[in-house]
Amino acid sequence: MLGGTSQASITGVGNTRYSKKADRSAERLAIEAVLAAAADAGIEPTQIDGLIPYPGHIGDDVIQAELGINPRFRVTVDMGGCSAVSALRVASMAVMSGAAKHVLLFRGLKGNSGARKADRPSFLPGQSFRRQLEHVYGMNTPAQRYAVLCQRYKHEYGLDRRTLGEIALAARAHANLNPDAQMYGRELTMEDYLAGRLIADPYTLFDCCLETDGASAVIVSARTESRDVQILSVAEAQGASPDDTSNREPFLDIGLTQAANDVWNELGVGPQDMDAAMIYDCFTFEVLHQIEEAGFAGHGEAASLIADGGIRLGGKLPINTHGGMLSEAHQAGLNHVIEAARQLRGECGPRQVEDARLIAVTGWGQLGDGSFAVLGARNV
Amino acid sequence: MFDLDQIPVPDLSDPNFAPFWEGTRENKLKVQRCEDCGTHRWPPRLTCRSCRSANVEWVEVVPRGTLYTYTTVGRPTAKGFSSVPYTVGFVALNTPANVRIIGNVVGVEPSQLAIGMALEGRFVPAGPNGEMTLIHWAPPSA
Repeated sequence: MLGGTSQASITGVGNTRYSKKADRSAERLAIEAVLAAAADAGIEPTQIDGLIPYPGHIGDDVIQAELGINPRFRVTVDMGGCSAVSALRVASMAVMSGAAKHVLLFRGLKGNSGARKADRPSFLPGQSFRRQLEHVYGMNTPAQRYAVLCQRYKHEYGLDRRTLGEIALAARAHANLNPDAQMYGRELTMEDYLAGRLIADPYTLFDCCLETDGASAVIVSARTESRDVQILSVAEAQGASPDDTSNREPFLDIGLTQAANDVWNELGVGPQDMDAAMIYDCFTFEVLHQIEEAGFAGHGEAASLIADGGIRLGGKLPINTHGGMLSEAHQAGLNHVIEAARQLRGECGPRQVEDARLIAVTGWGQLGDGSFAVLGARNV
Repeated sequence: MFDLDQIPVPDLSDPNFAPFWEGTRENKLKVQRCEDCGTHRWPPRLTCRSCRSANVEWVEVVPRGTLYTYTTVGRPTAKGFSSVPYTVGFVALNTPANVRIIGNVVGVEPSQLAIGMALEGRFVPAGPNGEMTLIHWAPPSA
């Protein structure tokens, strides 16, 4: 028995359908996702008494005012794509300490039809470094910042484009089993992948995650009812120089390296015990990178796990069974938490991982922040 | 290749960077060195990571090194960079070896770029009035 009767759990999850262009406001999308999560948890929205909003998305003021929520606990976790998983820990601490009973994490944005990523305010650390050292050389997007990591890995260990292609194809195959996914019903072949236009070498179009209109929500409570998903362990860490990647040493070191290690040590389980993994897939290579940094494969060895359907449903380690950010939606990683919870409750229908009991979830944000959680089914 | 006069000029008087920009204007690459323990550091910081000293000097270094990593950009995203492809590289200096400098790599076909290739810095005036001097990196001419 890994968890216990005194345990923080994910008690409710909810999301809108994800699309390129929603026909209603971002506020309305967020409200729908929150209502769905509350209904899923079996509570009234007014029973939510803790809020963890996400910078740049719909604010907690909207959710409070619209749904009549009076929070006793409110905190922002500002770690970019690392925030969703990190916030699971903050929420767990809040409910276990009694600071709140039901803590809501949520995302809501018209991220595709509204202002796109490059046109929205940046929350990256080290803004003066960005302006003084990077923008003057035409380096100003996540694809470019992450491409240099992939390029260096390729030099050190070797990397076949088709390996990255398989990561994109696996995500798309999973999204095609998920009617909520933005890319549902749109097949992707290796030929399509290889023909993708250049974004930032080695990244081409299908190496890059989506931008999405949609919303999602997760409720964390101090409750252990039969459907509740156990938050068994969560950790976070940062890269050696959180505001600069150019002079980081070791260059490919990220916060996840330490965070995953902390979780494995705390729980006394390891990568081989996971039934699936939800990996923050802002770019294809970041799946491979995190497979290695979390210990699912040795350095330079992830390609053999990815080959032959290894990360698809039915493979050695199914990854991102919802389609991930590459093919389900960009929800800054909260959709990965939601998918893990649904898998552990056995609610995923045609994309269900058989007898899923333990699932790892990663977060990757800013310039090196990493978070890692192991979630468990109630019967673990 | 670059619209040099359209590249946004950062705050050249930012005290953390002013000595750097004053250096490039004189065609010199300058980085920080701790006055107490002698450790070079980049990007510029207030505190030496090795000995915590705040005493710092800016020293000229030779703008020669090797390509550590890079990306060739295929989709225009930045002001001053409307024509693609162009390449951004991290250049590991020969001396001091613990410093990497970001810059555009020029004079090499994208297909010929290789990590580890030797590069040397060229100083290039940019901005609407040439008020900042950037460093581009190219294969050594001699």
